[in-house]
Amino acid sequence: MEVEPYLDLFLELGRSMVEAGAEIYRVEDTIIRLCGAYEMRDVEVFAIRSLIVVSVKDGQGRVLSGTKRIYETGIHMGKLEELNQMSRYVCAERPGLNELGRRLKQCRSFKSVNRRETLLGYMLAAFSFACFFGGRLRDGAAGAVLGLILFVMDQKLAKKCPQRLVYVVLASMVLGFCGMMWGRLDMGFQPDKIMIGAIMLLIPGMAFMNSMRDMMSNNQINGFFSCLDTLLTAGAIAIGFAVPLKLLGGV
Amino acid sequence: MDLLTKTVICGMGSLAFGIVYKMKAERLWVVAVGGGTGWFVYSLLFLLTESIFVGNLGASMFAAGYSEIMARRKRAPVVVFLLPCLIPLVPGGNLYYAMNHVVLGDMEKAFEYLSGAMAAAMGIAAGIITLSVILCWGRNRELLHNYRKGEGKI
Repeated sequence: MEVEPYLDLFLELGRSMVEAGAEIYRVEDTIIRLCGAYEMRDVEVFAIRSLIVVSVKDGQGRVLSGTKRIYETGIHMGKLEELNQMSRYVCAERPGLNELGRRLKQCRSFKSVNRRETLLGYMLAAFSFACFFGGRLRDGAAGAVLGLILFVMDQKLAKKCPQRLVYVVLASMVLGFCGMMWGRLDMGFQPDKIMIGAIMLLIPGMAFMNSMRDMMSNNQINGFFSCLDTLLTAGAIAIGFAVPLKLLGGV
Repeated sequence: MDLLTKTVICGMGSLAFGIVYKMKAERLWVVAVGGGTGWFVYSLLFLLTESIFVGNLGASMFAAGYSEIMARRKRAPVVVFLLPCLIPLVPGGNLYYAMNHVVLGDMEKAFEYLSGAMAAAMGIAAGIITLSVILCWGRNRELLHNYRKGEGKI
């Protein structure tokens, strides 16, 4: 059996998982199981959030290897779940190459929410956390507007910004100015609560949590990567919000 | 604001984050319940011990355990449930006020808020770590090791 194209598909699957926000141990584990199901021996996998390297032995004892570079990671829980289900199916049923490729394509184009629902999610998140941290309903409503602005920026601006941290600083600055403007309206808004609601949407919770879980599953390198990423992003948010606070006077 | 209202708001916030992280619709109620209950656990522990660290430790242990159970039951990865459940514990307010006081030049206050945020973050991390140690990863790893060498089945 020619295993090379299979190996390539498995690597693509691993890449999609990292891009959807999986922990590293899950990606390595999945690739090992998949290769094992297709009778590849001595599977060696190394993954970090920007690279996956695999080397296996096929039935004749030839060594094959493959590498995938990952440039961008995001959060897409629905896709991750689909990919996880697909790998379970593949391990159990061992489908052919065409079927595998078709399923992978299907998983990659999986959409659990449309744009309008995502927008609603942003607004609801900003609303509830503005209220949660002690704001009144009107602060929540003002926070929802900030959620809307962040959604538009995420859709339009994020891809145009070459550096993610620069984008975070820019977005925080815009949100900070908007929050301060609500305060200036003199209608009893509490700008600090409004801005906290928006900050919750920017905080890199995923990176922080994945870094803890990675460190606990013997992937310290990736754990430290993610941890650094968390700290840098938190710093970028602080810098972004500090600018409007400094210019317009603190709350 | 009383405890119950806040718990409900937390559930709503977790649900909203579930949407933002593009979860499937049928999983949303799971994280809404988890997020609300997680914060409830935190407030109870905080009332009892008056320690941010202990409160977050207990709450994140609860959230991690809940996510593990739900992940097994729904056959989905644990991260899917864990992150939205933990979101209400994130010390967003402390981070904001710390930054605010830095801007105002009141370093003492800023440090106070920052240490609160650090305690919360450490508590969350410690909770996740404690639970994953309890769940005993060693057994799993040994099996995987055998499988990689081509001996035994999982």
